[in-house]
Amino acid sequence: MSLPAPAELLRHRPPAVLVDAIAEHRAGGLLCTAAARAWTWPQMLEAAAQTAGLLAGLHEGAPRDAVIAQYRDVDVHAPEHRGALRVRATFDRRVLQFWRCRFEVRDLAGHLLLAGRVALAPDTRAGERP
Amino acid sequence: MVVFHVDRDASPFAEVVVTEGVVHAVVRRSYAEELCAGHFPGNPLVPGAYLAGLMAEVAATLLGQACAHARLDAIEECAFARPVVPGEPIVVEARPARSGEPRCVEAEVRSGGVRAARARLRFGAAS
Repeated sequence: MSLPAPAELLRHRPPAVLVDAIAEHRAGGLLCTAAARAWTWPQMLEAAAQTAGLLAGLHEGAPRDAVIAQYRDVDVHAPEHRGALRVRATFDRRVLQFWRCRFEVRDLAGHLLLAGRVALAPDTRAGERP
Repeated sequence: MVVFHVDRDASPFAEVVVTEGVVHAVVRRSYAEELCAGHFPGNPLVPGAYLAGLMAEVAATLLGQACAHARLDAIEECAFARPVVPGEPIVVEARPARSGEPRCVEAEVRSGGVRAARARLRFGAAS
């Protein structure tokens, strides 16, 4: 099964699209790759959020126009990184309208750069968009 | 009270004020607009991850008064109450955690005068 490009699913447009491809999609989990560049930890966190958003978007019943409601227990192992990334999001649980995921951001050698949890919620402004 | 008028080209902040142990920083509108490029066209929204980054930067300024280099170890919690759009004034505040734990900082983002995000951040010593 071919996997769609993140840009086809995300509301983000360049330069805000930080993940390039979906490498793996299994029940409850998604692995994305992100091209080599200089990364700050907020950019790595945003890449993790986009991966979680893609995971939710591919899940039936999840919000397609999701926004970030909360980050929790985010450990910053590397404040900066130069190179490509592998970003994994795993569905944790649903509480009311919130979809909670765990995420890990690693370099290509497998070193952990950032890890934590993110909660997604429907964008209440979605209906206002033109 | 200490007021820093920061380099407009190099800093996200137009002004940083430290008063009674609390740091208040005003985000440059042009910087907020840069953060929103592509996020989302026609309906710009400052990404939450970048708001967390701004809170950490202001928190590091607070800790920087006591130690020269502070490195963010963890975001214990960062919650978003409302969207932050680039057209509204964005103010970031940071203060020592009420728990009194060393190197823990509580920060918040106010947009249009209303709290839009809050975070609890833990720092370590820079290596």
